Amino acid sequence: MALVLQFRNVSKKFGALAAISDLNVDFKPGIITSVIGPNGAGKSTAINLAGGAYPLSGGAIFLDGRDITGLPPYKLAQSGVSRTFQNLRLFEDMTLIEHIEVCELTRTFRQVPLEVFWPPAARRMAVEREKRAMAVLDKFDLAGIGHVRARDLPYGHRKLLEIARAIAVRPRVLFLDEPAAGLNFKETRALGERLLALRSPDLIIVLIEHDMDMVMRLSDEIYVLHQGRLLAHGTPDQIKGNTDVQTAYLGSPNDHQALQAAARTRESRVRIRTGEGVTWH
Amino acid sequence: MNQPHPFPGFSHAIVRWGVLAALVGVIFFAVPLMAKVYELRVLNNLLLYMLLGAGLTIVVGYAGLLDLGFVAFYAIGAYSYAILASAQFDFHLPFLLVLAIGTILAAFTGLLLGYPVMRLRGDYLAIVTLGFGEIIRIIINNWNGLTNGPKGIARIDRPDLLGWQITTPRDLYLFLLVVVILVYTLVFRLERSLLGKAWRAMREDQVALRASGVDTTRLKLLAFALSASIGGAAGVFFAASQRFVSPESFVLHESILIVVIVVIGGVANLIGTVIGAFVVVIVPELLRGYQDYRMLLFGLLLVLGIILRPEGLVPQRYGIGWILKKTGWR
Repeated sequence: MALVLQFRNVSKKFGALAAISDLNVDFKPGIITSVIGPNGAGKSTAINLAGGAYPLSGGAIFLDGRDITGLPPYKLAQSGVSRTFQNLRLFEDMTLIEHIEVCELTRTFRQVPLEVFWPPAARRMAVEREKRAMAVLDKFDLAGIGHVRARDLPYGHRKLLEIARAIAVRPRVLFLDEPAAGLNFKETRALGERLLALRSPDLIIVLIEHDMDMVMRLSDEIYVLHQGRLLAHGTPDQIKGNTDVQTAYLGSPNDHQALQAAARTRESRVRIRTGEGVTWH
Repeated sequence: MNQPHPFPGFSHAIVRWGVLAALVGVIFFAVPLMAKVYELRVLNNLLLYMLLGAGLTIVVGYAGLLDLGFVAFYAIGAYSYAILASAQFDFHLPFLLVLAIGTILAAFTGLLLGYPVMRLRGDYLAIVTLGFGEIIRIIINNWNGLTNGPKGIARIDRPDLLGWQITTPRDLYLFLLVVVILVYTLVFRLERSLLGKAWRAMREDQVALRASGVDTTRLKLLAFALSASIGGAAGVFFAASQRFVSPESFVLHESILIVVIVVIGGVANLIGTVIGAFVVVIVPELLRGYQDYRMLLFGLLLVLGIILRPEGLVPQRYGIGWILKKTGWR
């Protein structure tokens, strides 16, 4: 079976709240697939389910035809499901190189005794490990600052480091949870180029992002979630022209006018946030 | 590498080897020759606590799991030797064999403790491990048939190391010194290994480490087992040096003292552990003249230390690695 990540009738309830109901999506390799939707649509929940952060209430997730539902996070990562976090989760006191190195532990676990007891082997292993880590960092132009601690990095580099770490586990599926959040225009552009460069025939890239410019520019396929359900699916152009999506994001034309009317009655001028500050062209 | 030389006229290597030789000369020859029996006993005590500190550093310092029941492993090691090499059951197994048994038994108990407490963190973990320490002590105290209960086990065999009978405090000092150097080297190498880095990452963010494909449960169990095995070995040395063990040696107070050793010098830093052991063992000895106020003064000093240096006496970056780098060994 060709590489594919499938959500089959996936649902997740938090108490009475159905965060995701009966979701069926396929993520394919070689392209960038985006998942968008207004706040609370269930995007992050979908990542967290695929990453094993919490159990599904129903349905199943398959990678390559293999049922990976309910595996613990480290096993999921080992079977190729890798992710970044919406709120950065770095090892603050460790260097960039070390961030990448620790991802190797599972693969090289048996060598730990040798590394502890036999200094010459340890030296050789350390050199090789650092070289491999540098190669990963180099893809993100971070190799030059490989010995800097994460806490001393500027925000843009911290974001990149998280993606580099997610790549270091040699993923088959890469979930990016709002990689552009907090980045400025230039940084977002640069990040977009990097993500395009990451595309490869054996890697599924799933992007969750609020920056619609970026989503439309990078994505080959888009899934739109709304209130935990799949609202639309298609290419960027199809999604742009979809009236359901516009309604979900912006409200119906009537809602919009009602809001504006409400705002006019206020003393101060209130800028109405429509959806996530999205402008539709 | 090419920094200006601090001692012009000598090459780096000569200075380095000279200092090392002087250090070895002092601790291996001058100290044992010049120290009196009482001083040697204090030093042996110091070395034992340094061992315990190194063991607890793995679980508290590296893995970041507060273990208040560490003394249980010490007790298991001590009683292994007391039971297997004494007149208690007339087993007289050789020292090295019992050392292996005690170490493995303690490591196994460490796994046994580690497994059920995997989901606990912070205060909850501390309380459960504290309870575990007490359970082991109470079992020892009550299992008369095996441990001789509160009366303890006396007339334990002198340790015999492949023909070298360790009898005087001086012998014991030299032996423990070698053991401490060996254990500290290994623990330091562990800290520097990929496993040590993964422990640090786990301390920083477990969730992120798991998402990177690392089984944190395995990391924690390993920390518990390795730390317990050092505690167990220290216990065997303790029983062999005292030649008498009783449950009184393994009370909660001891566990807390070892945590103090690890914390006061600087967590996750072996130099800090050495200094912590000095503070905990030597300072009360120096305060002996003040009799009744000794522990009060000691307590005050600890409180002051924590207030003035909350991260420990030695900050984490000034560890063995820093010394090796500064002196040009690496």
